[in-house]
Amino acid sequence: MTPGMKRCAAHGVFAAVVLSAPALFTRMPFYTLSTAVLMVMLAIGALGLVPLTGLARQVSLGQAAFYGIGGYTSAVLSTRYGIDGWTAMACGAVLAGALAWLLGLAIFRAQGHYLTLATLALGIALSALAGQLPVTGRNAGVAGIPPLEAFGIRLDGDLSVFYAFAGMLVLCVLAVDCLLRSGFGRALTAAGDSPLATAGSGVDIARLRRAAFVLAAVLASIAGSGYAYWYRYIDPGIMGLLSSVELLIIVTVGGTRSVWGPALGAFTVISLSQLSKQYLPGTGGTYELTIYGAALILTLLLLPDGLVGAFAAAGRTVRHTVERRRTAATARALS
Amino acid sequence: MSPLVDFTVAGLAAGTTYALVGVGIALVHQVTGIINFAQGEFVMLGALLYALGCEGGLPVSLAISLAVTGTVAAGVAMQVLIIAPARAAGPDRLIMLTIGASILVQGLCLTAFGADQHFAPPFSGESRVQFLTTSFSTQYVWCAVLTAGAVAGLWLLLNRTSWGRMLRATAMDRDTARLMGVSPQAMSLLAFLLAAALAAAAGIVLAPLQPPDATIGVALGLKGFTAAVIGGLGSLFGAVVGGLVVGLVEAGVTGYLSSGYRDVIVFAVLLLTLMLRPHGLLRRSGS
Amino acid sequence: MTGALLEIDDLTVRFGGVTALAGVSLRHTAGGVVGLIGANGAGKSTLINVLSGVLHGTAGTIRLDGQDISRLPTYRIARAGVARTYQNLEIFGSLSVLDNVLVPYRRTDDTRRLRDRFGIRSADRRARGEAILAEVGLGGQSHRYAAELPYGLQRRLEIGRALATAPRLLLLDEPLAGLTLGESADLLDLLARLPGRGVTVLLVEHDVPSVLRISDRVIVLHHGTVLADGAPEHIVTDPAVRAAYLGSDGSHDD
Ligand SMILES: Nc1ncnc2c1ncn2[C@@H]1O[C@H](COP(=O)(O)OP(=O)(O)O)[C@@H](O)[C@H]1O
Ligand SMILES: [Mg+2]
Repeated sequence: MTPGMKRCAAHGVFAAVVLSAPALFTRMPFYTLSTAVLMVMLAIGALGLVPLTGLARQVSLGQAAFYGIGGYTSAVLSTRYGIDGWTAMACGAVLAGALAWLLGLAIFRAQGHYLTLATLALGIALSALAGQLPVTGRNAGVAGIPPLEAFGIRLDGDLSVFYAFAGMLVLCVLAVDCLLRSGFGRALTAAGDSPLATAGSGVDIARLRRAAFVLAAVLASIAGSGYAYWYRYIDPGIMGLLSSVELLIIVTVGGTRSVWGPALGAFTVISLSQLSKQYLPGTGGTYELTIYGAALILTLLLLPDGLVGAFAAAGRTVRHTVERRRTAATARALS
Repeated sequence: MSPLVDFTVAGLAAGTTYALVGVGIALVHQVTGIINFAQGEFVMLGALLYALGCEGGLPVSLAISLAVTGTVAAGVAMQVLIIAPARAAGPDRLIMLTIGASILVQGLCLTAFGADQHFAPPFSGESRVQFLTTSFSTQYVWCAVLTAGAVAGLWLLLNRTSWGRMLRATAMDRDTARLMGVSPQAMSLLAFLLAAALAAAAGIVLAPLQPPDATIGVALGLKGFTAAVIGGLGSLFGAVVGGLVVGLVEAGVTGYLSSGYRDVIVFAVLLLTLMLRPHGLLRRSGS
Repeated sequence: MTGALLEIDDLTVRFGGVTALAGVSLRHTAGGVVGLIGANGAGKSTLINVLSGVLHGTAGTIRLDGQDISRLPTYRIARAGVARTYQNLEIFGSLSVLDNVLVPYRRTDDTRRLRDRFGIRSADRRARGEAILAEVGLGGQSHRYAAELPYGLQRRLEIGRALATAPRLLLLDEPLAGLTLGESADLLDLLARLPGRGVTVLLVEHDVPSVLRISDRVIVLHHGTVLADGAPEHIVTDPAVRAAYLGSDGSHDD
């Protein structure tokens, strides 16, 4: 198989697995369709962290802020101004991208951890602002968001929302994969390995990082809009620090350097959190934080390339063993 | 003019508490280059242990020992179990590790102690200091004294002892320090130990002012970051100034606008500082 | 006067109290290998850092073909035609060897960038990358990860990546450090060929005999100032150089 064919096959398998989730989830103990929808939204929201955090090694705590911008823009435009859902979603994406671009203009001039701190500040400031402004419904949030419509079908059930956004996830993964295999992805990887030598090769690192940041913001915003149209309600909690950390954990557990990482991570992390709620005593989510923290630390220390990296390594080992056995067998046969 | 005096005094008083958290963050950053997202959680742990000790009827000295021992043990455990094994990792993974540590500490405290508030009596009872038209709890004086003492003590340690010189050498250039026989790991452990001890002290003076529960660490940590960043991240004295600025901004917003906009404005200030003066408000930019 | 590739005028660099370069002035017309020698701490790496924009000088100006580059950011200087290698190797370990030399930006690439953005690798771009790899002796290694290469080949990869920017001026910071004698000799031959393809080389190197062998001009830095400047045969006989620098090395020579 040529690398190109392998790539197509991988995307095909991914699409098949994702789209068959409803059939599997409705037959498994604690999985429900709404868990599947949530996983898809989070996978889209975390996807932008692959180029930004995985390749360029810039840690963002602002994904939830952009998720919130998408959600609130959609909610406000749809409920107060009667604007069509998909248009509102595009407006949210443009707004999130523009804000990320402006922020990136200032932040990436200096070297250091400024992105982490600035995105942290952005998320908290925006969530506090949404809790105060009349237009965002203050702390009560925005309710009564109408569902999306596609080809004359109202996406008002878990199943229809799932298919719409699972399809979007498959397309986004494909698009990001193409982008990462281009000169852009190559430059991002280089900048993650050695910013010094990347700049020395004539690459404008500040612009490069800003582009990755804008991409991450746009993807998060689309996911946030999807969430708003699915849940039909949005409040400032969506932009909280924990939501951003959750997206960071998802991409880390799945694998920050692979486009499959966010989806695998969303499945694993949400499963863990659901499991803990179902089976551990004294619920109310007290174990959730412990599990999240432990999952993040253990992955970072033991599986730096996440579950995708671990699977890939396991696959290589198996292949090598098989090959070695085969060569040994041939050698024996010949002697 | 009396409201202005009120806000200023209230702001400076609250500011001393943020300064105390900020100094711990600045210390770890200066020596290890790591932004320790868990510092706020360590302050929470110190405050919680102290308040639990007091509620459990322990004498003050034992409650203090409990808080200091517990927090320092947690700080050392964090360095040994989480930071040291990742010595080859880049700053991106280290920063995520401290984020993980902060959630883990909060989660474990929630599981162990629940989400309830706990109470500790102020050091000097209910006495208040009268100042012009306003008054404030004497506990804030303790807070200011501790902040001043911590900064002075750390300054002496860093500038007047051989350990301090080794710490600063590591901060400037780890490779050269290693060549000179200083172990960066030992220095990192020392920095985390000192930061945890500082967090315990901060927690103990804060507990009577702000009855702690397992979730206050996040807000404390965020205010501490803002203080440290405004002060230039690496500077202990800068963090104190930063803490006071945060306190004053908060008090001003609460007094003249509405308390609802407090977080919006404070974190907008942090964001603007990072965008316009990334090396802090005190230092000239670009250097 | 015009026509000089590089003009450095009264360049001074201070780090707090330390003066790494104290009023260095140089002119060089395009062509040849310029050797830059001097004891540890003389300011050689600092000069390379300033020329490549990694540091900015405290005072003084640097001109490349008449254009003032003293205040430009690194990537602009690289695009203007200055490439470099690093004393402590800086390769892109998680990229393939070929991708390492495809990272550099070249003005001629602008028209093809749109296609490249969509992941369509243009064949001629790859071919140019392979050609550069072959030139630096990395033919047949293009699909290995750069991190897996042995140290000697990583040094060559760094030079290949620098050449991929199509530089007019190439700054090499101790390219022979850590190489075996055989590897050193081979690399030296490669460096000696570079002026032939239109690249002017500024070579910083500890191994003085090697520098003298391939340089057309040698500059000796001493405590941040130019102690001597001239043809290699004049440098070895210069009494000031012998006293300050070569004297200590001379006893080990021959
Ligand atoms: N980033 C820096 N900060 C402080 N001092 C520096 C820095 N870089 C170099 N120096 C000092 O500048 C002088 C020249 O260093 P360098 O250019 O590296 O010397 P060389 O490459 O000739 O061995 C030395 O005294 C060195 O200690
Ligand atoms: Mg040097």
